[in-house]
Amino acid sequence: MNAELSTEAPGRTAPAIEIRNLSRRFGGNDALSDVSLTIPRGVVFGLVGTNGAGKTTLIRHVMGLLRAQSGSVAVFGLDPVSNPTAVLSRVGYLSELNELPEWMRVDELIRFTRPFYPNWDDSYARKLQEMFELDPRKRIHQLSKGQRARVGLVLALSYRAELLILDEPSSGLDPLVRRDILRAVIETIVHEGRTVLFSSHLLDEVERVADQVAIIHGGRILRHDALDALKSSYHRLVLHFDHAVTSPPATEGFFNWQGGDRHWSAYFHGAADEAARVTSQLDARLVDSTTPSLNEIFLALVGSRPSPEARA
Amino acid sequence: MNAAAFKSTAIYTWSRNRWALISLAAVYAVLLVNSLLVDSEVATFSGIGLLLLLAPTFAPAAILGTGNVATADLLSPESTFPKQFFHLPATPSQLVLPFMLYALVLSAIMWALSLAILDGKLIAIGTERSWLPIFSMSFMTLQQALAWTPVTNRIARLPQGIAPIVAYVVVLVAALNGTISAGAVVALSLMQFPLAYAVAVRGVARARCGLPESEMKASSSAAAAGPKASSRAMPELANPQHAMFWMERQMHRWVGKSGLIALVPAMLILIIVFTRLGGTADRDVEGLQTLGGITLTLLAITVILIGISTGLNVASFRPRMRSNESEAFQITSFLAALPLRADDFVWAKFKVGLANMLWVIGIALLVAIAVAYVSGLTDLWGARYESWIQAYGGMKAFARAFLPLAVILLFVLSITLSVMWIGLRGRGWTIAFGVACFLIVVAMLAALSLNRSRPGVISDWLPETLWGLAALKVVGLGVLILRTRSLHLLSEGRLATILGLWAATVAVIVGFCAICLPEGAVAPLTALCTGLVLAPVLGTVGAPLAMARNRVG
Repeated sequence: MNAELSTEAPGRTAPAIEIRNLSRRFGGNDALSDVSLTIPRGVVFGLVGTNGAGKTTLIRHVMGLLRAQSGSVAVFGLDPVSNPTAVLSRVGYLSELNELPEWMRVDELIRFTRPFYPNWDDSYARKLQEMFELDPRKRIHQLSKGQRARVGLVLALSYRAELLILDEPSSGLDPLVRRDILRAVIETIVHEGRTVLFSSHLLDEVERVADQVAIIHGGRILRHDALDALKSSYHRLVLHFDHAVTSPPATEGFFNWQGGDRHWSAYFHGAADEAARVTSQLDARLVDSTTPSLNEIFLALVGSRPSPEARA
Repeated sequence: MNAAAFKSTAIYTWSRNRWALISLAAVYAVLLVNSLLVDSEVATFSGIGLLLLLAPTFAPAAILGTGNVATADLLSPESTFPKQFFHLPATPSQLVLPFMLYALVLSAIMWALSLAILDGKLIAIGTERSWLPIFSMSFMTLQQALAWTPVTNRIARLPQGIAPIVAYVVVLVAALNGTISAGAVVALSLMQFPLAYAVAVRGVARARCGLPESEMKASSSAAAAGPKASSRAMPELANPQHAMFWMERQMHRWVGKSGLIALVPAMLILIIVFTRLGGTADRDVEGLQTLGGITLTLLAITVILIGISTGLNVASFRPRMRSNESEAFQITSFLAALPLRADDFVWAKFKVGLANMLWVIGIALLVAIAVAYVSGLTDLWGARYESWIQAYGGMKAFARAFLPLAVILLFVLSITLSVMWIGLRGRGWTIAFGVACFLIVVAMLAALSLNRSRPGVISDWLPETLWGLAALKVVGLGVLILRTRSLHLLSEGRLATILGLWAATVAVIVGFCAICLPEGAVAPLTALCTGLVLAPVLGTVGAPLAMARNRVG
């Protein structure tokens, strides 16, 4: 057994994840640009972004599977690259790829994985197996994609990891498996002090379970806040201008204008009363103001920005 | 469409095999320049001469038969024809033709170069045996066609491969004995081309429409998935290291897929057996002994190649690797996320690689003893051993007899461990880089071998070159050790084991130089430097670093 595993886990007070000014380039492309994030213990953190936004690259840095080119990453106060065993023994990980050894049987895979984790809970593993209706005699290559995801989930949860990292876990899966994954996240939250980092582009799922959300696009964090605070800081406005306008006014706080002539809609970032005040200065009347969903905020934020390729 | 198919095939082949082709060209260039610079009488039965005659048969088949050269996995039930071509708007015959013609052109060029290097001599059989190139090209084309034909079970590959080999060996023996005329051999060989073409077209057509897939479903998907882990009861895994070793042993238990590298010595063994059964051996005892010697040399080369192949295979984190798969050596996300140190991963691989190679070496030794007995070499060796005892005494005679064997064994084990770094780097191009390095070393050795009786361009500066290389290697080793130690990637015990194996290999090589070579032929310092340079160690010490890089991009 590695010495690192037997010593008391360091950094009892450190945040679950602390990322400072992290940048990463692959060839000529910026995969991550000056990313800073702090994820405190005991929260469910949703990382949302389009395909290629940098979610998996960020998670691979957190797992110690990529070395920071600049900036730093700490998990429970430890560098995951130089302390892989100390960090990974406290992290449960389920990735979109879910590259389990195809030739093993489910029970063999569980028995293989168990010695790596001192906190492995056999009874919990059995309970999860029964809950997910997994046949222990079946080989991994005989399982459907959804069943493989469930096996991955059993492996990630059975040692009651302090930090559960789910990288696009429900991508391409049916609603039943997605439900199981969400149930697992909720189960993890129930255990006090445990943290979940949940990356997805299925925003309704994130909205259901996340306490905090970060929106990542083109390798940059566009917004990072508590979910409620994030949602309440955005407003979807319908405006009626006094006279026809050909292009919407470039006013601070407004973005993602749509419409024409005198009827326009836009998103506003700021307080609700501030939206009304600024609208009146634009020679326009505020017809309607609603709180958008996370999905709408995401589409408005990302849709109003050029893609990284276009910027290049 | 035909022109387009030829163009696409050329682009694909170059893109996929550029390093292999460049390396091949480099080897031939070195040998050609060497043969031009030095007016040497090439030993017609030398190992290099034989390699130059075998290469035009096997290299084009490996490169343009689209087989998996790096891992020598020749028993796959699937067609090795590149699947990307199946989507092109072309008939199977249009797809097959360019590959076959390019392979034949490459083979013809290699034959021409080999003959130029060997001054036109064909393995001591003279110019009257000029049927050999066409004979070998028809064999290559047929093997290529069979590799493109899918089968329902990987075991079916064995009779499919062995049947034509036996047929060709029978014809070869008959032709060498003069039972069949040269004209008949050429006619028989020419007849194989349309047959091979028809087989290839049918095979590619079947593979393209997934015809055997339904039959293959059960066997092939299981085969693709890898070994049957539960064929033996799973032991209780006490700790992570034990668990990892168990997994590696399950994934890489079978080295038989590399076994087809032994095709050439197997063919020669068949020839020896046929010759013995046919009574020719009684007439030409010396000829049979010479053939036995060549077979044993090739057996040793084969074991070294299997060692390299095993090292590469075991380095992978997948039980099977497909050709040209750049991700084949990348650690899987599941394994990368396990809380295990880089050197624990590597150590499990080392142990499995060594265990596999000890089996291979054991079997090779038994085969070698059988070959030596059947070919009458044991009588020759017995007499020679007696004379050594008379000349040098019992101890020295024993050392002279067994040190070469010890050199080969330790070299095989060291190189098996050492080449793992190539795979552990986790990048497809490192395979090509490794192959290129290996071929260049072969070329250098070949050049030396051809010049060994006369001083040449390379051998003039050999001692000084060896001193420099040894110094470089020792410095490089020191740097590597410091680096792995500073990153806590190698424990004292493991480092001591690696250095111990290296020291043993060096000591045996030095002992070989001191005892087996004529007195004064090699200076002690040169012998030591030879040992330091030849005994592989850098890859073994560097493997944990490569593993760490594989895991952490």
